[in-house]
Amino acid sequence: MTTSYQTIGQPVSRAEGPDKVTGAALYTADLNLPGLLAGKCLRSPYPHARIKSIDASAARRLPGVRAVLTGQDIPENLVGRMLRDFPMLAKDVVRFVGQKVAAVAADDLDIAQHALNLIEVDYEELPAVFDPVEALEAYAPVLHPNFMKYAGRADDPQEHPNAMARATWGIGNVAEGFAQADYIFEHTFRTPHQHQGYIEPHAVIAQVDGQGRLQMWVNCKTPFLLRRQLSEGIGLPQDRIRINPINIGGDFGGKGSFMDSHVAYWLSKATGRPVRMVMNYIEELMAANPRHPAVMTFKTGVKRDGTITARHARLIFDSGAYGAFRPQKGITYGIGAIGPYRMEHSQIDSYLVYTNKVPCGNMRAPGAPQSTFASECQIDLIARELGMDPYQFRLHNLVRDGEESPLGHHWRNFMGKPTLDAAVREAGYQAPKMTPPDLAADGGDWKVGRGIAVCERHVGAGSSTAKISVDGQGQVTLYTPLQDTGAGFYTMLRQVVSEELGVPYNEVSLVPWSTDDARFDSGVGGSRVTHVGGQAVYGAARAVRAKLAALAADLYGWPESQVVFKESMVAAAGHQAVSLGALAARSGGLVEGDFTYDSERDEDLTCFTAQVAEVAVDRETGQVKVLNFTTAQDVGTVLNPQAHQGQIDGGVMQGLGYALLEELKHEDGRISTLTFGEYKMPTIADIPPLRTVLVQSQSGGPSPYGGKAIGEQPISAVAPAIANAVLDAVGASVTQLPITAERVLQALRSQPA
Amino acid sequence: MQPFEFVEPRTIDEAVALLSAQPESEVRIIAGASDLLSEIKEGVIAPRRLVSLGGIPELRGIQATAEGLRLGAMTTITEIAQHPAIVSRYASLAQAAQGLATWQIRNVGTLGGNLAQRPRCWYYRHPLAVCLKKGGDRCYALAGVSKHLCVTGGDRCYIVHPSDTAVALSVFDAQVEIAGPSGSRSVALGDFFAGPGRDLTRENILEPGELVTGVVVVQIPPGPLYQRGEANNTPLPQRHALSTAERGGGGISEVRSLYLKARERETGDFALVSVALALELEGGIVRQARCALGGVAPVPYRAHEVEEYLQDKRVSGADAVHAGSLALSHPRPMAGNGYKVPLARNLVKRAVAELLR
Repeated sequence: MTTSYQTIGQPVSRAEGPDKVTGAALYTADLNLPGLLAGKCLRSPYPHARIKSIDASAARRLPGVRAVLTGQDIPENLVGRMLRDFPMLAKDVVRFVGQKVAAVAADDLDIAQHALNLIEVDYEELPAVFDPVEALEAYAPVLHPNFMKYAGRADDPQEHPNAMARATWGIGNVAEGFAQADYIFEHTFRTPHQHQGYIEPHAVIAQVDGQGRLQMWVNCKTPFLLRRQLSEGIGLPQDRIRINPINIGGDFGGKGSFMDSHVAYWLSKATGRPVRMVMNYIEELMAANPRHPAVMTFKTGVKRDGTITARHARLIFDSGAYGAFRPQKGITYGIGAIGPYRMEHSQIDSYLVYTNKVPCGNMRAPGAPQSTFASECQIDLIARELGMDPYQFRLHNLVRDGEESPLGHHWRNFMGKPTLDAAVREAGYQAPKMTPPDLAADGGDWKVGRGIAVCERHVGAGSSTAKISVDGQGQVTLYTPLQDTGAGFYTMLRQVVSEELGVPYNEVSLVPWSTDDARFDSGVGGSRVTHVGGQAVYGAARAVRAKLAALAADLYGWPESQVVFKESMVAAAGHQAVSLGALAARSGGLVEGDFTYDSERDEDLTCFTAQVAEVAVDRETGQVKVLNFTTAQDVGTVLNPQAHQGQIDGGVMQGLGYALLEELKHEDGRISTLTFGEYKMPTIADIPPLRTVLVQSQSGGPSPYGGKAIGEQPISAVAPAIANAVLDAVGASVTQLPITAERVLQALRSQPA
Repeated sequence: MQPFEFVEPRTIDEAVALLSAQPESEVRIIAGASDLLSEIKEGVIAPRRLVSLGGIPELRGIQATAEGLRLGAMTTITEIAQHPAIVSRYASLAQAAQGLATWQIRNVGTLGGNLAQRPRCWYYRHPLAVCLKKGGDRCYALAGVSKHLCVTGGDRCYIVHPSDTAVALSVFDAQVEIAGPSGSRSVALGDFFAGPGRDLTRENILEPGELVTGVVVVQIPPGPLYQRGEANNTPLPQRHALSTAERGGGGISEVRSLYLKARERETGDFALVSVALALELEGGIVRQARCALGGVAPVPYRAHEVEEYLQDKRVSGADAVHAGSLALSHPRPMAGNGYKVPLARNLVKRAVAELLR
């Protein structure tokens, strides 16, 4: 990439940063409306039970209580992001611990909480199922007998009443491929629930305004989709619902669900007052929408020389009690499970299964960290059995540019080998392994190992709109329906405006839109924003630029094609430059441009990630220390290197937590780890030195200026890289995340002597 | 969160009176509040009144006394971690304080609060579980996740004591000062903690209305006695001992101590297992050894067999591996915490090897 840009490619700091660190930026829980009430829900203590009766009379009598609602008091409409299987309040049956059975609006939170304690619910416990594999057995209780009547369900017939969705992808015929193999390996891997761990819990304010419209402030990153989901649940037409813009305190995939939005509306309607509902972290860890756990069996056939002949992955994703927090109709999880390896026969069978546990939703690269862990760990187990170095084994099988992917795609400018080589080189993968002196001195039996893992992931697609205006003072304003989740794109989008209109990026005013102000927007997520939001803003900026250039041509006789925008001035060679504001003023008002960008996912374009973990494992205690971590990313143009690196650092850290620490521990459907003291996320002290290599792809990507995607790419290979490094260090194969010391010890003990 | 009244007495007597004025379940002491407020917010306890110790000057600070050092109950963990005399003479305590929780918690958390901290057992902390410790009828850990629980000393309840400072102080002669409705008393640190056999709902011997006012640790010699990775054989000018008990012989001694903590993450985490070890050395011979383990029992666990093995050993003749093997004499691990036994043995081994280096 030799094009030179003014602002694009510069590591500029966040324009929206100062407001956040000084507390000036407002979040949902900060808002106060006249007469605001506090809302709170009573939740089921049982994983599966029939509600025999609810007596809320004492709660209703409590002074300060303005409304108490149960499933009897609101319509029975089921809601969901796509599959509509979720009752706004449970009426007859509860299917997980934490399911909402009643809601209270009161003058303050203490009164609301007290009122909840006064509600008597008589339950009759029902047989429950917690393991997703068991849920597919013939004897398993059927959790949703009316599933076939649910709106938004997948079209494929159910194999089992608890299988809410299934999909099969692949090429060739795996039976044939296995027949060609010299060895066939089969391993099963398990991964746990992971919570997104955002700072701000789910929060919503609902107000039915004087016109009977629902006004809502909610930390939802997909407000246009939420508007539809609300409409389906509460019966108001979409144009009677306005989702107002608000900052979102962290997302990581988890802030696309409706959570308490419908209930907040019903409470507001019942009281005639605005109602605020903020989940506390116990509720978050008990009943928000964590990453799906999975049980994954991989069967792989290889020849003696290491050539993969066939791979069959059977993936069972545990959806929990409902599927309502997933935005897709069918199942998409696990589509990349086979790995970027050349083979003629592949098959992925992926299932989403109901269990009596917390309903799962999306988290950073949904589906991928699970299947990448299984797939990439098995690659190392096979390489070891064959006596091949895992790097050589990967190189031998890795798809090369121009070859077909294992699902039959033709990836353009596929960067697998150069990216893997870069990671291996940067990490010193082949250098001698030395125990660091401080560990060698501590008396443990430390062994050092290195592990590789790779993955690839698409660039997201969707729809977004942007508008840009320039006023007579030269003030440039960008309007966007994208809500700020904290990922840094409010700066990146300003950089695009800055690049096109020649104004300083931090002088571009950014105004987020409500759902009244645009037709539709796909929202934030899925490695989409730089591409989709970026192109919308780029299009709007080009439109404004064209109008201004035409105006300059008209006013000053400049050749339109030679008008340049730089340092807040508009100029053409050989002419006296004018300020942007002066030119805009001559239009007689604002100069505005807008643009709507629509795109479908390009399956022939992917972003490759290769990572190397270096760990020390203490054979005596099983303790794992990550000494170094290297990630190589296949990139296009990097629009903002600082924000880009932030996504890489954050993705690796979240992957590290998934690898070593994080697990929502379930016991008979009850989550035992209900605080951040028990659910352990890594802290800065746990983060090893991270080396990043950016490997430039010639083709670039669909984002403006040729950018690809980075938000989800760095997370999935982290856990298998660490697991493979542990395997390399001490020969212990840990097939279940997280890789805790006791699991390493257990694996060491089960090793053949 | 249930509303509560916050009161701030100016004297210890006032505090005792306030604590005694209500049924025990309705009143709690609030010191640094780093754990207390979580317990309230998470619905584990619901006191009506919180008695703050923040306004009582004599509970604060570290003073040298004739007996040794007196640490007021309201001394913060950061003050302990950074206090020169503690860093130089009571290394195990300083190290325990330095590795406790997080910076933010160390800045507000207090010694008294840490010694009296309630357990982190998942079930005790769970809003839906009314376990024995909370006055319920069963222990959920028996059929549940026992990963973090005790491998010795359990009796219907299987918590581990969460305090790092308690373990570190166990290797010095320390007295806990207590004030209460019937006056003041002082008990040896080892007698302060009490397992579930005594009272399922408590972890120490404090009676209703009582509070910890301070801890006195016995005088041990000044100077840099032990620093990691640095042998220190400088003769000391006077005789000091780990305990105040008089022993014959005279001569020159030094005290070395350290604290090792195995945990799942580098900060903000409780010990899976921790070890405090202190050795009094004289002429290359271990005159006295003290070894305590955290994370293995409902109270700080004294590893007497390790101590006995090291007693009178020549530094060069002590076998660290053997010492480690004595760490837990009759462990009875639960279904999911067997890993703690080798972990404890290895930590003791490392501690012995490190101190005798």
